[in-house]
Amino acid sequence: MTHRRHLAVLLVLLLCAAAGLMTALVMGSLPVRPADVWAALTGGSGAMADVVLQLRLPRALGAFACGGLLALAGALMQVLLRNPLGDPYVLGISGGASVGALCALLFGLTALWINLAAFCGAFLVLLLVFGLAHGEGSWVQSRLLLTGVIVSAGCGAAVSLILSIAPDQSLHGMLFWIMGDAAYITQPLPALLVLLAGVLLVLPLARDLNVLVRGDTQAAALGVSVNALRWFTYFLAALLTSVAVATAGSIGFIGLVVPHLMRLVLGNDQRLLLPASALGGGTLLVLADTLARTVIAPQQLPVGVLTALIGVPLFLYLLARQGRSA
Amino acid sequence: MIEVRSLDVSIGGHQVCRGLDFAVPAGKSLAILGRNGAGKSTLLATLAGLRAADGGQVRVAGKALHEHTPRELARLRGYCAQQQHDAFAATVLDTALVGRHPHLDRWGWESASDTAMAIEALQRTGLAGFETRQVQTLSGGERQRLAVATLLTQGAQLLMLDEPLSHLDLNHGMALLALLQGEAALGRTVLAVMHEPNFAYRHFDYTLMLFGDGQWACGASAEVIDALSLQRLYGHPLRTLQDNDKPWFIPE
Repeated sequence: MTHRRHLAVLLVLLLCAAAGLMTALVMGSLPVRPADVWAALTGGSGAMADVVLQLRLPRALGAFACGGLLALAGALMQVLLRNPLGDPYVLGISGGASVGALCALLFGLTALWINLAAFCGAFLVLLLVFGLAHGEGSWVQSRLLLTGVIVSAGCGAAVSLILSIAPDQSLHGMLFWIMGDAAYITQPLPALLVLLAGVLLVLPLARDLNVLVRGDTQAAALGVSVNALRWFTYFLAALLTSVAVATAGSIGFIGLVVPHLMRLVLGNDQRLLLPASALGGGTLLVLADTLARTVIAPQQLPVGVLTALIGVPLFLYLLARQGRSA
Repeated sequence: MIEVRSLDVSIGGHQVCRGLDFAVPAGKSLAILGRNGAGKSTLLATLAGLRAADGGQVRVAGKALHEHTPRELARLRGYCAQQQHDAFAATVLDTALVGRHPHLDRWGWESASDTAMAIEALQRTGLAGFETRQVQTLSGGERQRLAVATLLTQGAQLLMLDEPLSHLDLNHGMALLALLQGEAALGRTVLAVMHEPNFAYRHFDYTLMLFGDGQWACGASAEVIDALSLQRLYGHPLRTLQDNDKPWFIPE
């Protein structure tokens, strides 16, 4: 695929993202006409503008950022593990975030404090996993993963413990957090900035990652500094995941499925796949979140359930189609 | 092109070679022979700069390995591993094009001339018309030839191949040996781990024998390879059959 075609694909995905965001701003218990949305975005005021700017825009942008972060982290983990089953949560980051967030919920803290506690939990796990797995040699990669799996299991037990001792009135909020819910988004800006920084950091490395997919030996023979690249990418993926789960809880499925969807449609060139995953993941999560808050309004569903309900059939369809053509 | 000075290599407590000295100039080829587990692949990876030696020095194009940046080194020497692992789907052409990586800038894209090099390499390895095939649908021999095509696309002066003849049938094996000889005739340097001593004798200028205990022998193939040295190398008696002016070594 040529450079120009890559740019065309990204432009189309960018338009899809804009359309997805517009859908999120238009839809809701109070329908807003696209013209009013435009007016609100370009400086209008009034009740409509308040709904759009105060309620829907931060949530839509936050959902977009989280979806993009998870999909980008998932795409990176799949390259690092050279395994299509790679997922942003394999290093146990979401477990740490869950423990942090649930503790905050247990003590009755709200809003920003939950996000902060979740990020602290995620970051502590990240330091723990990388600290324990630090060293030289090929065994380090497996040790990193094993450490992640074990820490994840430990966090799972802590989560169960908190759930079992938590008072009934906070259980609902806890369950929504564990499944992932964009209602926890208070401030979308940090996640958006981290997403932008993440994409800008991986793009210059994308061709090195293309070579890394072919195996460590091949990559080293072609002049890639394999160890440095691996550690940097692991750490970056873990950090992106931390920010995503701290913002909206551990939303499942996006990180595993979006890179796959993109790979099935666009191929495995990381120069296209990484930005496309970020855009596609963001768009999918915005649409899922819009559905989550409108489908049985006024009641809201956790968006993590919707991502799975949309993602599973879409993914199975593409997989079956590819199976027939191959 | 490549010069090895008092090189010590070991792996997992097993001594591969001690005090290894040899040099292969441009336009010449070297075969590495030894029993299974003698450390042929380990030595080749060390010579390629993919793992560290215990002592001594490997010099490529007049500089020690560590004096080259990884990218510079990748433009000087190519390395074709014994096995390829394809975790994800990719086309044959894209797989060959990976060889251009060290020649492209950080933001560079494969140009039409890069693609032309990859297509030519595919033709030379008998893979013309395979460009859009998925690597995961290739047979073992086809995948092996694709690895050689990736190596040729890399365009390095020093070619290192680990058991290039594995999985290849007779005609493709002979074609590959001719191709490697052709590369040497063009001034490139070829190092290959080989299993068949007769091919080493006939198709390579020099032969390095690894005896498995750290001892080694290196020299012109016709001088190093004889029934006695092969018997010592493989621990199996061999007979020499004379055919015109060249011998064939066959196991008893």
